[in-house]
Amino acid sequence: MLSTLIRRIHMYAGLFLIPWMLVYSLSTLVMNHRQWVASWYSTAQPSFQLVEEKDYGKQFSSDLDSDLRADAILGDLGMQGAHRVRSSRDNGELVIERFAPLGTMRITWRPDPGKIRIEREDMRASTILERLHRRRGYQHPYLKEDAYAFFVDAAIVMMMAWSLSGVWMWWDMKIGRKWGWISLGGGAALYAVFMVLM
Amino acid sequence: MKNLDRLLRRTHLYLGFALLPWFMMYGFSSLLISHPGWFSSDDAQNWTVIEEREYHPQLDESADLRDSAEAILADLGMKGPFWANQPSNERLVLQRFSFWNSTRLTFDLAKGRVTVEGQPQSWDKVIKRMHFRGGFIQPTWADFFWAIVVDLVCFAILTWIATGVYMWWKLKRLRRWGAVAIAAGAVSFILFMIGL
Repeated sequence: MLSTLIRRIHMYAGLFLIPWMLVYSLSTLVMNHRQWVASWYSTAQPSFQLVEEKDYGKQFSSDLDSDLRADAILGDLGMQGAHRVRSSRDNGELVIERFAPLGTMRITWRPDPGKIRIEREDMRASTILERLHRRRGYQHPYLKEDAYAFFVDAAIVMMMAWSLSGVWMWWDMKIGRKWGWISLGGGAALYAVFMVLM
Repeated sequence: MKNLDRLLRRTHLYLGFALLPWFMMYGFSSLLISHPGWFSSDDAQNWTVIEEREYHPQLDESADLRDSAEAILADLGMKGPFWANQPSNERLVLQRFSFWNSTRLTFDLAKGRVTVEGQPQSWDKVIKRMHFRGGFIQPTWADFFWAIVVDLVCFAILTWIATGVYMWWKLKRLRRWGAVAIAAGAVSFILFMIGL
């Protein structure tokens, strides 16, 4: 019964988390070969393309900080989500980087003359993969971000659970003992060598 | 066909066993990175001055920063993996690291002085350093082979996915629920990509 349960969790969790594991493996390849991948592109970062520029005459109270202003602007644009905001003391300009998985949106608000400019980052596979690799945590005040962080945590926990349940199943099945020990021992020995050398 | 089944099952299993330390390390370190408040030791970010002395590094402005940094570390008898950063014309920062510790060298190029700082040891830092270690730009053979193993782990994950899907397909009784799991995962992921 326990053995069957472990096998099923090992398999179904693996099938469910395929997209996340694809992202983590491909993004790690990108980061491990960063210089080579960078040589494919003419610029270090993807450029931004203008999506829209429009009037935005909203006036904010002077005691409202830049974070609250950014929240209000994103709310008015229907673009709430994970973001970072920079403000200029000189002219009150706000630059909001809205971190969408498939490309950052840059929203620039100029209080005088009350204009808003929306730009979209060009899609670049290596950048998308690397940002997805780093996307985690419950620091944003959005339920959808928390939900994604939960799936990231599930993938993390399953990485360890697959390893341990794999050992359990191997022991339970009583197959390939000799080569199992050799591969386990060989991997552990190699890791120990790296621990000493590095 | 039976031979292919057996080959794929054994590949799935033995590849997993050989790379188990890496998979456990990446899993556990990801937990540390995702939840820094749960595990981090309070003093992990503090740097303690070990030494401050006169030093006039030879910096060739036309040379690559990493080449210059490598020469400086060799001159100081500190060859090994490092990161280099020159935030201004007067300041150069080198970080020389291993899994076990990290040393920061800050050069005041105008005054010709170097400050050497170390970090207190903490187990969470050690595991995170293993997670972040990779790439082919470090000057040691150990780093080169580590980066190859990192590649191997990535290809192993792709292999586990492919062989796992194959093994599931062979279990006719479990096809329906397996298909539900694959579809649910794919749909969830797509919704996140659109909605986040």
